[in-house]
Amino acid sequence: MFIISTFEHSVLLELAISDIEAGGIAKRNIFAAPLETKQQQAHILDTIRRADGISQIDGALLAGAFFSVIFTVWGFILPGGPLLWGLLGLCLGGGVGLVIDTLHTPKNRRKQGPSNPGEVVLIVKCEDCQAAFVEQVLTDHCVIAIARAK
Amino acid sequence: MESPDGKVQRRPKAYTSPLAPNLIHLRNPVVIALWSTIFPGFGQIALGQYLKGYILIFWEILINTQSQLNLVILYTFTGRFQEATAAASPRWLLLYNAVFMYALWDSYRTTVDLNKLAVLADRSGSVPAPVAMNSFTINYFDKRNPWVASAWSVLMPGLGHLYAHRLPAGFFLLLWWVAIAYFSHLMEVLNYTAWGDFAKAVAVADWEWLLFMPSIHMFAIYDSYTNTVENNKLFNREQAEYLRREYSDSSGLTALVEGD
Repeated sequence: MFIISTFEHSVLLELAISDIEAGGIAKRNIFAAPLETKQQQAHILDTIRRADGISQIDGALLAGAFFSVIFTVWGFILPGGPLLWGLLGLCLGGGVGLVIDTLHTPKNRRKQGPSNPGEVVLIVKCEDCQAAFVEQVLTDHCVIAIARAK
Repeated sequence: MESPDGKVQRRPKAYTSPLAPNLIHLRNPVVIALWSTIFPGFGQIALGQYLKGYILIFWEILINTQSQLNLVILYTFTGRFQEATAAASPRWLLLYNAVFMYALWDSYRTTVDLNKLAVLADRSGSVPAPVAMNSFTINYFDKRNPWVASAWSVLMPGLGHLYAHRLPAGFFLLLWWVAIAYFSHLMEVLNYTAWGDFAKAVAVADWEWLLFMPSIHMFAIYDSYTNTVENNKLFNREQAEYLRREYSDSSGLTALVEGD
């Protein structure tokens, strides 16, 4: 009997494997395959030119910093004072930066999403009578999905 | 540097010490150079070159406050050019230009170089040890939430870095933030603004110091977010290497299939 499951990378995954081994299942009957996201590798030249998966916040914060300095300065001579104008500049700059960044980012990159939910495939070979135990351990350690196979 | 199996790594991806992880990853050189423009030294801090960053930030704060550069900027942008000229201290101002350009140029070129090393390191399969500790602290790889790091940085620059266990950046930002908040009277400006007394908010502020604050605030948010994301990626990478090393032998599984 095989128990096939998917996990995100986390310390819980290592605990789950350790618990299964402690429950009497030999290490050679446990197989873990970390999945590589191939699509990200194809974009390696793109990622050199932008800060790696966080381009949405780069522009917003940079423009936010620039705008808030300039608006703080203007707040000195405008009613409302420097703090309110500085915060307004921050929001305005953040919005402008976000719009520029979004327009600047290729559409296929935006659609791609942040990450692949199933990052590791874990396959455990066990006797039929151990299957419930293995599944319970996996369930207790934030498994994403489980399948049984004979 | 050595990997967990004791082999020397020529192109290391990361280094873990009890004080902080430091890692090489792909960054946009323009973004890093712009951080250096906003505050000389921030580009270097973002790259993990803390000592160089510290030197440039000390320099920036010393020369800027002595030459009253922030006041010159304030008067210039509000069209009061005579006051701007009067505020500038000729004894200090020219000390600014060369180091400012150096900080910008240095952070750009270093990013370009480190990006090459990042590609090589990613392909080399290099992984650092996931835990480093000494008598004073424990640094361990873990999955942390970048938005939590940002939220702490919004409340107090430096805290987001402490959350991401970037102690060298965290303490530095925290100390400067408190010092500059004190000299600029930021908390009094906050109080008067909240009470709607805008005239007093303007009067109580020390503008030379206050104009440092937006850049430090934004940088702390940005850098703690980025560090948390990259730490998470490093966690994934290290664990994936470990699983490949220890649990990629499928012979036990195939034996059963063939036996059936």
